Amino acid sequence: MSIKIKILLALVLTSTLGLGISFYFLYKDQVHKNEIEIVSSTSATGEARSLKVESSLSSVAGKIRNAVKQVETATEAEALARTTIDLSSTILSAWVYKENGQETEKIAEASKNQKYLDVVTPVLEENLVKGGLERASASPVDILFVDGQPYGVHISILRGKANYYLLNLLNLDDILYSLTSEGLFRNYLVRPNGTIIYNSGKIGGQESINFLNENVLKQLESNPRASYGKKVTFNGSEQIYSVTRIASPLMYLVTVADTEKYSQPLALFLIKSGLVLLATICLAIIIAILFSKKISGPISQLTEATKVIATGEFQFDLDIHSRDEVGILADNFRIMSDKIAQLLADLREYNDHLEDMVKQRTAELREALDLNKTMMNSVSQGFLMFDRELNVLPTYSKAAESILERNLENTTMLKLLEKEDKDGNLKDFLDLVFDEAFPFEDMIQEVPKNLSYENDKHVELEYFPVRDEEEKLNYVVSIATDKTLELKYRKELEDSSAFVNMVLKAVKDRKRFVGFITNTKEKLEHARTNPEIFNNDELFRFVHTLKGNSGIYHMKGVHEICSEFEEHIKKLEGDWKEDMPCADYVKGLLSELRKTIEATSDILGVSPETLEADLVISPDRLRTRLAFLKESGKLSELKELELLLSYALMGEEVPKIESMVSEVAQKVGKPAPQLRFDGPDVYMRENQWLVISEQLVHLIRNSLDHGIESPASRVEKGKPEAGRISITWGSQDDTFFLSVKDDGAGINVEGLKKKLLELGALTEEEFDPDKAGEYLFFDRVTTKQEVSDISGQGVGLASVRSEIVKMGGDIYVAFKAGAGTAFTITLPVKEGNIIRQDAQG
Amino acid sequence: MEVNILVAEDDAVTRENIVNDLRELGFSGEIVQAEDGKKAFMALSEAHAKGLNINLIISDMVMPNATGFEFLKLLKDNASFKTIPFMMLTSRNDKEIIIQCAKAGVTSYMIKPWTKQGLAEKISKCLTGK
Repeated sequence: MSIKIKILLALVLTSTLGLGISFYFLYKDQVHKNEIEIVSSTSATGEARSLKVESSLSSVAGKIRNAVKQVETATEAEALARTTIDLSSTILSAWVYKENGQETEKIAEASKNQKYLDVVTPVLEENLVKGGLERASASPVDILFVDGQPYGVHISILRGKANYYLLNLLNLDDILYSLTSEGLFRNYLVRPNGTIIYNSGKIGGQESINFLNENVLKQLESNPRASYGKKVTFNGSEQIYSVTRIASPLMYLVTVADTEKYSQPLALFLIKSGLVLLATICLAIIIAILFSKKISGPISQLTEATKVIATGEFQFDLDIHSRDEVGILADNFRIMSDKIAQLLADLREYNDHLEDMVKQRTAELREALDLNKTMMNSVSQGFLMFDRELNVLPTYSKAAESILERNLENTTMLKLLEKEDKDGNLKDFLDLVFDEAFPFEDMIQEVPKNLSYENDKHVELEYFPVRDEEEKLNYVVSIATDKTLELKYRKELEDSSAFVNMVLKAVKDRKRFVGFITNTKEKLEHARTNPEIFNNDELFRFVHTLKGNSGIYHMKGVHEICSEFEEHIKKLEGDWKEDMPCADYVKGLLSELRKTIEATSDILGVSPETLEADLVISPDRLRTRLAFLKESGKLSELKELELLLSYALMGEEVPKIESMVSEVAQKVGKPAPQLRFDGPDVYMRENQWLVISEQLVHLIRNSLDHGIESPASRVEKGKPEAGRISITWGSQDDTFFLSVKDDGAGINVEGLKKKLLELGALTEEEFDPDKAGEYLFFDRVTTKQEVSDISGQGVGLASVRSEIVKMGGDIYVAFKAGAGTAFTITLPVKEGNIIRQDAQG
Repeated sequence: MEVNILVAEDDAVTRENIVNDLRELGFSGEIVQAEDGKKAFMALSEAHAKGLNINLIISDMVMPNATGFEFLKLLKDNASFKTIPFMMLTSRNDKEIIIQCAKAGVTSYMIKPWTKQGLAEKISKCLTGK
């Protein structure tokens, strides 16, 4: 089968199937809908009809009852009969009978039409009046058939001396006919025994309706106004009927609908829809033919084209212009075949002109080389080359001479790097480089790279090996680059980023920053005028702490001076007070500090002259304190509020401690530890808190650097990768305590002992392992090999203790090898330095 | 080829790190550990007596009892051990140390801290003799 027929078949089959399915459901739905409609409409109309019949009957009966009265004379009887007829258009005739024992005697009659008197009277007398009373009391309305015509008869009995019968013919037919809804329904009035007393379809009087069974009657009895509708077979065909009860006289109105009449529109619908179905299938076939042509046409064209290409030709016509996938395929096919054709042509061309092209390319390369050479001499880079004897070869560039600011003729590398060869072993080392004792790339790292000049000029040298065919290192090329500008810009960039960082930190924790600056400036000024406040060790501690803090605040200038100052004090032999450079360092620090204050005074709201900070307080801080005062009953004294504002609330300090800890963790290269804070609401005087919090920084650094192990070794010990530090505080009696506890390795007692012996602080005999915690607070004690920026100088804990002792407190340490270390700071509670809500009030 | 390695390093954490890196780099042979130069030499002799050939020595430079150089001297004086590739670990980047290493006959040196990749390259050069 060709693709065309396949597409065609598929289209026709699917459209037919789809249509068939949709019609089936439509039909099912329609049949079902019809049945429901009939049942509901027969029952609904049945109820309306019965109401109409009932009211019409009762209105007539009422009118007659009103008219009936005792008559004495024939004249009165005649007047009564006449009046009765006039009462209602539905009363056609009236008779007045007198009861006389078992006999009745007509005494008057009246009629709108003589015919009724002529025809009905004999029947009436024969069927009714003669055996009359029994029947009369049984049914106040009855129906008589006279000459096949139904007539309603109403009998009214007036008890007394004489009884009269009033008889009326009601034209029920009119009422009921109006209810047949253009012949769609037939209505029957049925007695409870099933006898039809009236039939709008004129079927006859003696028929009975058998479906009026007990069940139906019972249901109608219990709910007199409801209609009961059902589908039955009646008179040989399928019918739908509804029954409604009429109360007085008791009878039933049965409304029957012939389903055949309803089915007619359904049959019409089926015929119509069948035609539509046929038409649609035809249309589907036509569309399918058109479509399959459109799709399969281009494909067969493409098939033809591939046959052409297979023969090696690239000449073919493709008459495809659609924009669908086939169109794209055709476009790509054209492009592809064009490309193949082009490639084939190029290949032939290359083959033909290969030789010429090689010549041309060689010339181009030569030109590029010349250009390179010119460039080498013109940029701020120069090159030189030296051999195994370390002689600079004459092949250096002019730029190298100007960058290095020296004549390169007949010189050696040793002379060039003379100033940088501080250890005097450069020659031996370079010999090793040429011998390649170790990989060139590793060793060359140690050859001086940066040349400094007096005028702040910086030149950087890079080295590259030049090898012969046997991979033997014969020469080294060195490229000299003038880095002066680059370094200058980089420094400026670093400075400004450090400044931004400092401002950010200062703004974040303004209180602490201002406190830090103020204290430092005060101390420095004090030390300048009264140097005796520090001995050498105290000065070293002060500078070391300042170095750490300035690092945290990104105060680059201060940090750099501190580093140099620290080294200087280490090497100092005499008293620092007699040392000129020390005085210069102090001066330098003061001037750096002043610069920082001036640069930040606007942002921080601090006056550079007096360093007094405006009182800035956040609404939250105020709210907490007001609540505290209210509870303690001290709101009335404004002074108390002012006082309390200058207190720090321990809980409020938690976020600052958290951010500080994560920063320190980053610096030591360990994952940020899990922190736990626990303690009651305690207010501490601001200036005391500043000192305590500084010591807290030291202790946490100590934990992170020494206590908490590296993640790998923690995991090995079954601890979580990140360390845990818990910070707890509280007060007992007159003592406030703050403790920092980690889950690290504890204290390395052996390492500590070794260090103490090395320092000569203790002898082997004096060392008492139980006092290991105490020894930690000795000056310059550290168990760590490398000295880091964070801690390790061995001044940390000694300085912490001295600060706390100054405040009248103390610090002690407890540890358990492998499980952790706890530092506890204690501070006496006195003169309102610490306030607890419950205890102090 | 299964490579047997001797690691001499006094700091337990560093030693563990080296061993871990070696295992992670796929060295599945014996790894003998020692905490100073003297013990390292003893461990080497013991292994030799048992018939275990050590193919590479990684040694710290600064160790108690016998330093890395002292350990290396012991090896060079011993006919069975003098050809074993010797990698010196040093924490300082210093021309003098490198000159000393070259004079002492160190095969390769590595500066702490190292990277796993760097360690792998150095070991491969040591073993191939390049």
